[in-house]
Amino acid sequence: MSPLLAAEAGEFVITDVDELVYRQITEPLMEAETWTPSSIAFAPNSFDQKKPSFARQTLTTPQDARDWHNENAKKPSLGVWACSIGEVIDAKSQTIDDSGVTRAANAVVAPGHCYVDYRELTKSETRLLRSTLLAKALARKELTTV
Amino acid sequence: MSMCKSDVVGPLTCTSVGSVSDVPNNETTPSIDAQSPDGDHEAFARLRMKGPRFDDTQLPIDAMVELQRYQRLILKGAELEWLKANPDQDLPADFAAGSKLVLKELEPGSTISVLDLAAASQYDAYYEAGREEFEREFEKIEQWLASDTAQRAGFDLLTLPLLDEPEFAELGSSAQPGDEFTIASPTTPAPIAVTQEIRTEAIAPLAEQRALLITPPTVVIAPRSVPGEVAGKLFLVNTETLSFEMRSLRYGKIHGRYRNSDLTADLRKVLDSKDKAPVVRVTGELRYRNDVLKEVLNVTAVQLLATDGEPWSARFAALATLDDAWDPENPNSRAVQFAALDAARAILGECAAANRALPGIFPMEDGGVQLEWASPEYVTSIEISPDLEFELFDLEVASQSVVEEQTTDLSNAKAFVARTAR
Repeated sequence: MSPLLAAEAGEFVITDVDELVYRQITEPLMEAETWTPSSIAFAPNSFDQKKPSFARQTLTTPQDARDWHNENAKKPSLGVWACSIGEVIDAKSQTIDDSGVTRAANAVVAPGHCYVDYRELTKSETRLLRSTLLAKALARKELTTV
Repeated sequence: MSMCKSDVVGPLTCTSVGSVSDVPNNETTPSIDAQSPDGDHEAFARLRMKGPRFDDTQLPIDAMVELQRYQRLILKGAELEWLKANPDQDLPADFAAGSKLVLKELEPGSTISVLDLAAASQYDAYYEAGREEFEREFEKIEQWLASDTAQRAGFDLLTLPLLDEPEFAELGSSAQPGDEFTIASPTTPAPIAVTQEIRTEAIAPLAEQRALLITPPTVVIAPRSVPGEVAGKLFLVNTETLSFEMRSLRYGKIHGRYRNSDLTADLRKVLDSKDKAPVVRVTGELRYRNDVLKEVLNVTAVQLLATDGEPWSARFAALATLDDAWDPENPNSRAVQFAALDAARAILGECAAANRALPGIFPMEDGGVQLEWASPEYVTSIEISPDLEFELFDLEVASQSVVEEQTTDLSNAKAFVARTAR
């Protein structure tokens, strides 16, 4: 596994292994018949700088996170899934709270925003991490939101 | 008859909705006034979905998105009404919170979803006004559809602000052939019928016209042309002018032209009515006006997405119509390549022989296709790149044991289906 990068200025690594982080699932990365997301939904796209967005359980609720997403993102959320900080660590990565990062004045950031760190991962490691997070999220089942 | 008390609108209701089926006779088809059958409750709205899929008062998961679209339109309508009544003020932060609709019950009649506001709110009057705004605009659109060309010329698109919401054009799009979708509320004299005709013939073109109309002149840009592909359905070919008309899910009606008359035969093969035509991808010079694709010129190729009536055909058609930048958050997302879909079809055909459930079928950012079987215990995927390389992956979660292979041999990818069956 590739070594992890240190948190950058304004960031810190979340260490409470029991805390959950929420991920919004959008079309078309959801299988409607079985209501199962794709593992791709737990990974960054090429525009995410290898920092896919999650939201912290201690700073927001699944419902508030979904509502915020629906009011600010370009695609509505179909539902909220979660994995724990410990599960990310067990999968050889880390979750980083970037709330202290200096941003543009007009930047819009979700409450409790954090990211799972894919920065140094190879393609194979990325696939393993996102698949593991999907499996953990499926074990936990979709979180209740409307 | 109450079938599913207090289920909240959203994906989590799927399991409970799917299990509700104690209606002894689904031939019963009550009217869908906002009044309940026993007359003791005036619901916010009743959405009726009728068709074979909705027999026994079941609500398929993929149809629930219509309830979300309806809720979104009501909220936008309510916001417009509030802003009209409170000019120069910002919308209250809690305005959206009270507009949540809940699914109170499913009634027989294949299937009527009874919606109410989740709780009383100081904004209830605005939510009801939002609903009336939606109904007013829908009625205007129905009138436009029924009018002749001269009457349409005087139509005022500025009075239809909800058309700016993508949910308006998407409302009813989950319907399958034979489905009927109607909406009734205390303020509709008759249920609103969201038909395929009004969606494609009126709502989509009017939304497009309104978007052009409200674009400030200062940002009007010259037409631009880029080589590329667009997916859609061909419904008209003119062999004399070497031109055709097609409908793209994303851009609506598109005019096409080609120079090589040899293409006429290919175009005719895929020509049918707007509803029945197969999905094709046309390669040529894409001509945009104000970022809306209007024409595809100098067409050089027409590819047919083969559909075969298999369980995955509808999903294939949906993926095939994703254009470049299908993910609005990711401009790098590329249209799914038909070659990848064709390979996916060959792999999916192995599932029955391997006694394996069908996987999830997903688009990949590079235009490829991902097939994935996922559970808390195992995640198995076959990723098909646009140039037909196959990445095979199998994870046993508990042990983190991974099998990972790359191949350009389709037969290896097909064999992987059986090899990883459990």
